[in-house]
Parts: sequence; C-alpha cells; structure tokens
Amino acid sequence: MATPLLSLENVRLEFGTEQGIVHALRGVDLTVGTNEVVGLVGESGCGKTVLGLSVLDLNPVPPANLLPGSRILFQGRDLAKLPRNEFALVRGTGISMIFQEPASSLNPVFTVGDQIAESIRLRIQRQQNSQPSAPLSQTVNQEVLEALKLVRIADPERVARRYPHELSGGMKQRAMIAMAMAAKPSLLIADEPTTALDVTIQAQILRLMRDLMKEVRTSILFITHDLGVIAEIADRVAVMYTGRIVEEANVEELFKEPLHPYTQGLLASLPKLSELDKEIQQLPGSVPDAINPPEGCSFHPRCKFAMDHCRTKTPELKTIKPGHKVACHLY
Amino acid sequence: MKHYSVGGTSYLAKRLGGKEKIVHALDGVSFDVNKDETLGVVGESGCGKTTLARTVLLLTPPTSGTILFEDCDITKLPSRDLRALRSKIQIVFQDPISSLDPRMRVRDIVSEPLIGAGLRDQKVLRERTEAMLERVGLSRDAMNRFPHQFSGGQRQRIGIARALVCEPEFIVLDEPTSALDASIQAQVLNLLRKLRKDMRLSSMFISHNINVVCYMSERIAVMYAGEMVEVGPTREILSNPSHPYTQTLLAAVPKVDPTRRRADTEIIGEQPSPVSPPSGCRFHPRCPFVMDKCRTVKPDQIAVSPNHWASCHLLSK
Repeated sequence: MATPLLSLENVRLEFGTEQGIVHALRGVDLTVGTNEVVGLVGESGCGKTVLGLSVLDLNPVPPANLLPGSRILFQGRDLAKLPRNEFALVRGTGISMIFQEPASSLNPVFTVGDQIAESIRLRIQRQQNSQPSAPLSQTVNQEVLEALKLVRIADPERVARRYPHELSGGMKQRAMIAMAMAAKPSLLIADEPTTALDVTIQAQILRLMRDLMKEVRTSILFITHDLGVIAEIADRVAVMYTGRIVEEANVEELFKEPLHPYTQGLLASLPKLSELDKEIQQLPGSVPDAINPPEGCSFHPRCKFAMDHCRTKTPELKTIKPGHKVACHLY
Repeated sequence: MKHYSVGGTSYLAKRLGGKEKIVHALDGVSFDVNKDETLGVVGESGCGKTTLARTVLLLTPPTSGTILFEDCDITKLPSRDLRALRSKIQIVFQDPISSLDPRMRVRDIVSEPLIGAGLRDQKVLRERTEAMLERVGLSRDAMNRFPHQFSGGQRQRIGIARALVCEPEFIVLDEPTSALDASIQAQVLNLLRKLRKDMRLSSMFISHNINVVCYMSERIAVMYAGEMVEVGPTREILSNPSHPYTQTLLAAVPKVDPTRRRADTEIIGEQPSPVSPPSGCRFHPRCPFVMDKCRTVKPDQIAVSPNHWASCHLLSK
C-alpha cells in the first residue's frame, strides 16, 4: 500500500487553562492520501481546528501540549523529529494552510503582492540556504503573478498592488489561497475557508479549490462544520466529537448510511430543501465540556441508543464495512 | 389580512468624510406580511436585510416610504404612541453575546420589556418572567445568573424569551440561529416554530441560509443590493425561481447529498457596492441572460402567478 501523504497516529493534545486541562484531542488516527479531499467535520469545540493546526505545529506551546505517543507523519517522515530548518521547509512547500477569516489572516499594512512575495522569498531562501539576490526579485514577482493567476484573478498586476481592505471577501480568500498555493504544496489544510463567505462566493471558491486540486495535484484536508460543503467537496469524511473521530467513511456512504448516532443526529437536524414538510429532528442536550467530558463514550448522555457499558467503556474506531469505520458499541 | 405592510421604503445613509456619498442600503422596498404568517427574507451580505429588520421596527427610521402595522402608518406616530406599540412588535437578534447586557441578570433582561410597557407589580413581573423562561426551555434557576454563564444556544433562548415576554403580535428574527451549531440550531428552530404557533405570531425571518429560511417560512422574499427582487410562496420560489439572481442563489446552495453535486455553472462576480449600484437592473453585470434594456431600465415587479412576482425584464415578454 502506498505511503499516505499525511498520517496522524494516536494524536493527543491538551491545553492547560485556569479552569483545568482541556482535552482537545484524545487519540486521533487519520490519513490523507495523494489526490484526495478528506473532510473533517464537527461542531464547535470538537477539536477539528486544533487538529489542523497540530499538523503544522501552530498551536501555541504553552498552553498546548502534544502528548507523547502522538505521531504526525508527512510523506512517511515524523514531523516532530525533523530538524527545525527542514520543518520550516515543509511549511508552505509540502503543507500549506488557509484559514476562515481572510480579513484577519492577511496583514492589513502590506499589499497582497508583498504578502505572497514574502512566503515565496522565504521558501527560496530556505531551499537555497542563501540570502536573496537582485535577480531573485524578478523571479519572486513572476511567481506572485503566477500564484494570482492560478486562483483565477483576472487582473493580477492590479490586485497585487492592493491592500487587503480594498478587496472583497471572495478576493481576499483567493489571495490567501494564492499565498498558500504559491509553492504548489502536496497538502493544503483548509480550516473553514468558506464559512465567512456568501453562498455564491462560496460556490466559486469551492470550485476553484476542486480545480486547483486537479491542476496542482494537491490533496486537501478540509475542515468545516458545514455538512453541505462536505457533500460538495470531500471524497472521504471523518466526523469528530469531543476530540475523537467517531466515524469515517467515503462521502456517499456517510450520507447514505451514517452509522454513528451522532452523525445520524447531525444529518437529521439539518433543514433540507427537498424535505420541507418534515420537522427536523433535534439532538437533545449540548456539546459537552472539554475539561470534563463524559466517561466512556462521550456521546452517551445525548444518545438514544445508550447502553450501560457506553457509560464506562470508550468505544474504539473499528472498520465495520470496507472503507467505513465507526466508534460505537452498537456495532 | 395584511398585518404588516411596507411601501416603497428606502434607507439611504449618508457617508461623510471627504466627498459625501450615499449608501443605498434599502431602495424602494415594498412587501406585506400577513397575519399568522412568516415571511422569510433571504440574501447575501450587504443586500440590506439587516437594515430592513431595523427599519421595519423603526430602530432606524427609513428615509422615505410607509410602514403600516395593522393599517396604521408607524412612521408618522408620535414617539409616545410608538413606545406603546413596541410591546406588540419585537426582535430577536443574531449575536447571542452582544445582544444581551452582560451586566444584567437574566431575570432583569427578560422582564425589562414588561417594565417598559408599564408593568410595575413585582410579583406579576416575576411570574411572567419565570413562565416565559420555562416556555423557552430554561429552568427557574436561570433567573439569577448572568449571560456569560450560558451557552450560545441558551443565550439565544434568553433573547427569544425577552422578545416574547410582552406577548407581541409580530416579531422580526434577524439571523437567530446563524451563530449556533447545527444541532443547537435545530432545537432553537423547532422551539420558534412551536412558540409562533402557540402564540399566534406573525414574523419576518431573515437569514442568509436558504435551507433555514425555507424551513421556517411560508413565503420568501429575495433581496439583492438593497432591493427585493422576487417574492412568493416558498414552494413556488423553490420549484419556479423566476429571477436570475434567485436561480443563481439556489444553484449555489450546497445540497446535503453528495450524489447531487452542483453542475459546474460558473457564477461570476460579486454583489455591487451599495454606494454606486449599477444602473438599470442591479443584477445586470452578473446576469447570464442580460439584454440591452437591463443596463438602463429598472424592471418592474411582474406577476409570475397570483402571489408570486419577480422584477426582471425577461418576464415581461
């Protein structure tokens, strides 16, 4: 079997806070292969953003603490064991990341062109282990324009000279994608990239991301709470709840036959245009406290199928059907 | 019977600083809300729907136009009478954090409208507040707590309790569940459906989320760049969207079904700036069916069926 592009093994991460230790990730196993979009879906507090940030070691340490036994492998190499300069090269070249609010992720006092140039320049420096020289600026400028064209910006010279506040939400997000894709990374981690955008702009950006995936052969780890977007873009889906993956399947299978009661509840709670007559099913209760999650299966207080041992024994993520895993005592 | 009738209302804000510019937040908006009905208002950011919510309740008075509540033009009411009317028309805001005063206990937040309406008897205030909190699914011990001690969904319930404690006849819901997780959203939407039925409320449900608006509304109004471009019964709008923008919007909504991924129709451009909207039909720069006339002449409201109209030149053939 080919080495997966990204492999997360037993990833556990805590945050030390005044109120106690927040168990953000409680043993996550996940892989992303080449040329695929893996959707990571869950509600707020489930740990999906923390997981995305962990890959590139972007969680501030302290208070974050990656527990021993956690392994993050990129192209087969353990990222924690890489020397600093090699890890710096992975960021932006091997793995890139884009975030939810382009307005707060872009530096307001630099032009878009300068910001994209910054990452390109850093990468070239790191690759060459040298200081930038005069002819380099031309190369950098050329790459900036190419990055902007890659994200279908019609007038790249003009947009490169603009400041972020002069661009609309959709354009800002394209600029961020340009920055992330400038080095043609093998993996793009996208954390809620379209959540802050209008639905018609979202459609454009999703389409752009799908096209880029094919053109540049980049895999995407797409993090979102929006199941509709997941249905649009993902090949495989992992559902997270309180720091664990509770179900994983290919996208059609997940929507057609969700196995975990949480996934079923989540799908049933969405209003759908095709079923306006039916009252949506609501999941009782609310997402538990990450400092003191319920024992055993953390979903048991809200689960209509809860059995006695659900309260004490944590279910393991097991393969029930080919390509379909679930962590639930029902199976 | 028309409960709420808005006619030709505009809100044109002046933006100062250097050259004076006019922001066409709302331009000639006309619609009705019937008794016991929910009118959904859908549109993307900047279309004017929040301005509409505020204008309809006179939180921000319109610069022109009429607003009739039960046949009385509230834009012409003296302030004393308008204040008395406020217990009949209420609003639930989007952000459960900023819409509740963090320094007030829940019991004071929820009883404030009753005090504003003139109720002074402490016992009755407490009873009505408790009863309302129970109706929205919060226990009595919520009374003495502060907003920060509650989750987003619970805070939104507090906001709903505050809006309904005076037993209004009409409420505006401005993105009431947009800040909530999907599973909590379902609880709050079902709660709203139950309450509006039990309390016989008419309402305006505003959201950018089309699935939610359609679930909650019998009729839908689609807004674009400060104008209403199509209004009709929900099912008709979904089965026969007549304005190209409505069609674009519906095509862009992700379906919760991976076997029905959108055909890749290219949706071009973005919503225009409200400071300098395009001439003629404001959608013309993005419209796949644009004709010469569209660039210069504003389309009228054209009937598609008795209750359904859209403003598009394509329909006047």
